[in-house]
Parts: sequence; structure tokens; C-alpha cells
Amino acid sequence: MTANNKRVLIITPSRIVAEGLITILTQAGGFTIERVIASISRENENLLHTIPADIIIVDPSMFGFNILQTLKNRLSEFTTAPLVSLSTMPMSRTIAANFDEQISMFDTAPEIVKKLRNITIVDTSNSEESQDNNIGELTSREKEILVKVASGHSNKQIADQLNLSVHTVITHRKNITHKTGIKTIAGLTVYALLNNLITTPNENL
Amino acid sequence: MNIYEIEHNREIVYPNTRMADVIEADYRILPLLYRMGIELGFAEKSISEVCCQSGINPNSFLLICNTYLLTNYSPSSELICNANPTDLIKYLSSSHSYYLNECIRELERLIDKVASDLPGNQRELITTFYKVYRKELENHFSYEEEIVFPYINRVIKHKEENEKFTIGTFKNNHSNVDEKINDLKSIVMKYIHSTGNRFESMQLLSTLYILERDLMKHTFIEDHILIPMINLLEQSHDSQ
Repeated sequence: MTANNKRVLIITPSRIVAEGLITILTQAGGFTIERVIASISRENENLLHTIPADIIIVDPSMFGFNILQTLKNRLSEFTTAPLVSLSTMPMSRTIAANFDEQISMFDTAPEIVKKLRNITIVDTSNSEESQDNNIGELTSREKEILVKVASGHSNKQIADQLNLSVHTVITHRKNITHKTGIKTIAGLTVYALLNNLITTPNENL
Repeated sequence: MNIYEIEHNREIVYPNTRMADVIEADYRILPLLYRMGIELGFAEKSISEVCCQSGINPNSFLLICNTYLLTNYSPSSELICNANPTDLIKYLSSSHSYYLNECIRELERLIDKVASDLPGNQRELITTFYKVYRKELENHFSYEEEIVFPYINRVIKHKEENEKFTIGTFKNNHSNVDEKINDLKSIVMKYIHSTGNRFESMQLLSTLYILERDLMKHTFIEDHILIPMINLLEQSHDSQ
């Protein structure tokens, strides 16, 4: 039974908040609390690689304003799990856009459970292709996009050339970074050359 | 099962902590001692005794040391108020020199060795990527040495001259030097085979990990200790 539980990561410095959430979710059933961590920063964001989580619940009050605005982007390098905010105050629209769902401190237990159960878990495996190869290897689509990135094309150009939305291109790029561990364009160029995805080096190096 | 990740973020070493115990706690602080000119052979002396003998402000030493020992260190306000920004600059400058001399020398030796038995185009690829990284590092440090640190020294001496530059400008322009090193790490770890140089390959990867962590801590000191300190100074000058 527990194999089907949604795995939850809670990020809050408050023990009180964490204990409250754990109690509610454990009583409701269908959730496994993987870990509680006090904060996320450049120093420990790598942790996210090693904690399997289907949902991440975050207390936004611990983050400064500029970090909040780009939180989803930063975290998505390490995880594709949906982000849920847990707060006392209403958030501005730009900040709320970072979160897939919002829980208020004043929600009742059934409301909280319902919101979390209704979150769509992102399917990270591309089903047709992952049967053929290792989950960690790049799919052919990802390779295609990597080559274009290494060739210097912008996200918009790639989206136009491959008939995709910019959002999809960005998602693919994040998966590429996640799998290869490479972020910079120069680094991706090296990867592409080493793995024979392109044959001639360009001005990125 | 313990699901709580315990984070210490207040000081864990103090003026009366024995220097030997600090190293026992985490030997990775050895480069710090080197950069501050502290020699080994200090027997049972405490941090404050060793610092006094080496002409170093113990509060400044503690700020830097605790940063390296802890994740997300949050210095107490007494330490911030009693520490000396000049000492921090001295340490950061000394670190720049360490990175560009001792570190780069070793890194380059290992890269050359590991690249030496790779097929022609791969060898060039890795060496070029490394050189691009090295240039980035040099530029990043030059900017700090030539523009940021002199500005900070002027602020400390209360001799600002109609500055357009503020510490906020630095904060906004403070780029990441660890993105490329992270990529270099992934490439060395996963995508090249140097069968004839297994030991150096392993050493190279290990060195990259160590350097990356060192740089992250270095950046932490700049972002979370130095900049707030100088902010306070700037504000107190403005209101005068």
C-alpha cells in the first residue's frame, strides 16, 4: 500500500509547522513524509537530487523576495516535483506563479489533504523512450535540443524550429541539466562533441 | 526513522576552542590556516592564542572558520559587529592568490596528465574548456581586486569620493564562478576515459570537488558577511 503513497518533502524552519503537517498527512493516509529540511540555499540544494519527492511543501516566509520570484526555476534544476506553498498571508501573483498549489495556515485538515491529493504528479519518464534505454540517458528529443543549444540557438528559436512551446524547450533543457549535470552552454558543447552529437566545435569554446 | 535534517547555523567554534580540535572536526579548513599565515605546530593552543601570536583578529578568524564548518552559517550579531572588514578583505585577497597560484597549478598539472592519453580532439576539447574556465576565474577575481576591494577600503576609511559604485552594485553583479567548475566535474566524472591515468583522473575529480566547495564558501563570505557589513557602514556614513 505505501508504495502508492505520495512522497512529501517539507521545507520549513518551524518544527511546529512541520509536526502539524506530518500529523494531518499521516492521519489522512496516502502520503509518506520523506524528509523535513530547514531551508534551501545554494549550499544544500544538491540535497534535492537525493531526496525522492512527489510533492514539495515550502514555507515561503523563509525566502527573500528576489529568491521567491525565481524559486521554481532554481528548484526545477534539481527536481520536477510540484511546489506547494504554506503560508499565513496571501501572495502576490508573481510569487504565487511559482507554486503549483497554495495551502493556507488556516485551511482545515480536509481542505489541505484534498488540495494535495489533487495535485498532478509530473510523470518524469518519457514512456516510449524510457523502455528502450536507461532513465538517465538523454532521449532523442533531448539530444536534438542539446545540439541546438550548443549551436547557440535561443529557446525561442529552438521552439520555432521544432514546433514546440518555449515552455517545453525549457523543460527539456532542465531535464538535460538534471541528467548530465551540465549547465553552461560551453559545457553542453563539450558534452555534445564528446558524445558525437556534433562534430565541429564552435565559438562557444 | 529520523526525518529531520538538523542544521546548526550558529557558531560551533569559539575563541577558547583548541586549534587542534578545529582541524579534528573538519580537516578541510586547513587551506584557511595556510591562507591566513598560521603555521602548524601550535600544540595545545586555543584559537585566540594562535591568532594573537599570528597577528590575526580572533573574531575575524571565527567568522571565516565557522563559515567553512557549517552549512548556511548565520553569524551572531556580536561577531559581525566585532569583526574587522579589513581582515575579511585580506583573507579574500589571499584566497584569490591561492586559487590562481597553488590551485590552478595543481589543476593544470592534472588536466594535462589526464588529457594526455585522450584521443586528439578530446584532449583539445578538455584543455580548451579548462582554459575558458581559468580565464573566467581570473576575470572574476580581477574585478574584485581592482574595483570592489579598493571601494570597500575607501568606505572603511570613510574616504568615499562621489561614488557611483555601491556595494549593492557588486551584489547584483556577483556572478557564479562555480557553474563551469560544476560542468567540468560532470564531464571528468562521466564523459571521458583516461585509462592510462586512472590515479590522476581520480585526483582531478577530487580536486574539482574540493575547489568547488571552497569557492562556494568564499562566495558565501562575500555575499552573507562582507556585503552586509559594508552595507551597514555605507548607511551609517550616509546618515552622517
